[in-house]
Amino acid sequence: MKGTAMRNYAAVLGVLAGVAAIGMGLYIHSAQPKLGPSWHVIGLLVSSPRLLLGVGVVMIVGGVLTLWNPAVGGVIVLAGAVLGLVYCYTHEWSRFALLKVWAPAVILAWIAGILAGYALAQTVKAYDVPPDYGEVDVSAD
Amino acid sequence: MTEMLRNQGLKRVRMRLFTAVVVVFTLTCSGSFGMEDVVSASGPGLTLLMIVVLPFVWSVPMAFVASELSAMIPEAGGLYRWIRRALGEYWSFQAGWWWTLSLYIDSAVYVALALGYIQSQLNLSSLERWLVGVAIVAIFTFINIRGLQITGWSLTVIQVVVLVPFILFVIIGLLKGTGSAFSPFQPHGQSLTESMNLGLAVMMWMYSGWESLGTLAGEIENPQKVIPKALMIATPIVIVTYFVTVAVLIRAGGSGQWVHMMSDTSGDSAGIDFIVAAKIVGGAALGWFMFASAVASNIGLYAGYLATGSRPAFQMSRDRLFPRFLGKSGSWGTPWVAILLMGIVNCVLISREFTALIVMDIFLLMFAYIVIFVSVIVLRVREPNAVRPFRVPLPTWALTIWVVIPIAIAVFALFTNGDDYLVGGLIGVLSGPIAYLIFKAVYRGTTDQALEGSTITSTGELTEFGAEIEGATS
Repeated sequence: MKGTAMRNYAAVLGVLAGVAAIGMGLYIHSAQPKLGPSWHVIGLLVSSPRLLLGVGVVMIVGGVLTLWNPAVGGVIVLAGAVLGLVYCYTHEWSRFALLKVWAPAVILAWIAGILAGYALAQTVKAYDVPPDYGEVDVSAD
Repeated sequence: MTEMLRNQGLKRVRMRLFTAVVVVFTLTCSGSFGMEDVVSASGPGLTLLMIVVLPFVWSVPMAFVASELSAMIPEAGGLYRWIRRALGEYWSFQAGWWWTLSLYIDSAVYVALALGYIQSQLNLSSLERWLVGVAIVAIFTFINIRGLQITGWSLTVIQVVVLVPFILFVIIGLLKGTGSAFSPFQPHGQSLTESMNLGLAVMMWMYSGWESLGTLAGEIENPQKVIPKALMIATPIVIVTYFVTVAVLIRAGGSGQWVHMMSDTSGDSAGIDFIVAAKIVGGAALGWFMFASAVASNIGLYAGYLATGSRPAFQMSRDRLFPRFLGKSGSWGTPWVAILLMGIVNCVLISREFTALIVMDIFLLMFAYIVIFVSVIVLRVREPNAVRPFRVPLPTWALTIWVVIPIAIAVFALFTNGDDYLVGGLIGVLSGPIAYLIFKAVYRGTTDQALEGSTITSTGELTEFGAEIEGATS
């Protein structure tokens, strides 16, 4: 598969990861709004639904940016997934329940990241020679 | 000797087979400390059964696969180079990153464990504790930078300190112990699966490390012969060591005392570890011997993993996927910057609480293992006629079935260690794709043609130079 096709798939999956996060955010907003205690970040109350919605938007932006630059877009999408996992990890008593909510977005973001990596590998022109470290005399002992 | 571009600057040393076996033993066993937890979790009989059975579906496949791959691709960086040739740059970076990250954390854990044992006897202040830790790190960082030969010697001395107390313990424990080594088979009221799950994760950990010696292949003379032989010899030694020492531990602990067995007895006065068991059967003197063995065991593991853990990073730098300075080698012919960086990270980690990082460890290692197992099959299919000085004596289809078992065990283990390990591990694993995107964008990498051009052609056939490197003409 060509690099551009990889990049396009990575972008689509990045956007889908964001959509999945927003979808799960809306779902638990109605079904389990109290799932997992909130984070307090610089005066803001970051609950599970809010974090999912926020990260979802970030992932969609990252997905779109993947079309421009797979490295930048891919990192943004994956960073959203990592943030979600850190949120799950810090909530010991509802960790597994939170993980189930975050799983679709995390898995899609991971696949998006892999495809972005493949796209980058094919589009970035690698060096034709290994780095030169000069002569190192290793005969002495 | 013809040397590959990426191995240039590294010095190949003559490593005796005995030393190589000691290195493998250190990386995969180094005493049986930690097995105490399996005994109380899974029961005496099941623990001993698992010690015998698990290797054949977990560590023996890895020992054979690592032998085949390190003989076929005897290059510094080991698994990272094997996977690059099989699956390309992306997955080799992932496995190299996961494995390296895991060993950065792991190696600090071994120093912390050694310090824990020392702390239990000497009651050090936190500053003294840290200074002792830094001293351990500094000494073995220097030894590792100084060369593989001196590292091998130091590991040999360490293993003497580890094993002599165990030999005494086994003899005295067999004579004076009163407990039944095989009974009961498992804890009462637990299902077999339940009992197995609890001990499996620890035992998988105890039986890992077989791929590590391969990372040193670029610095060993005749690695195609030495590494597979060392792995084949060390495998039964490790199994026997675990079986005999754990059986005697259960016997020495006394009748019914297996329920109190734990590797960290600091919070439980009734807890029994190898040191306590040694005191029970051999008095205070044997207890002190065993204490020295426990400290030496963890220091040995640290020294071993400092050596192997630094090589993939060195090689990734040579492939222009890591900062350039990590690929430097000095006049002693070792990747001194990569080793030094690992030592510095270890010093930082032992100065603080890093439990949260430990939960990443198993996931990172398991994913790297899965990619190694996949690589050996891919190489068998893609390069069936490549020179393999050591070949797993199985046809490809049978090897595939054999490696599917440890892959299944690895996947199973990912979900049985608890949700903290699952979530923490996923964070660690996702750091791989992120790191690749960043490093690839910044450093661009090197083409396979530039790296492999001298060994294989673009269609995967071995060149004359490659044949010489891989031992076809030797």
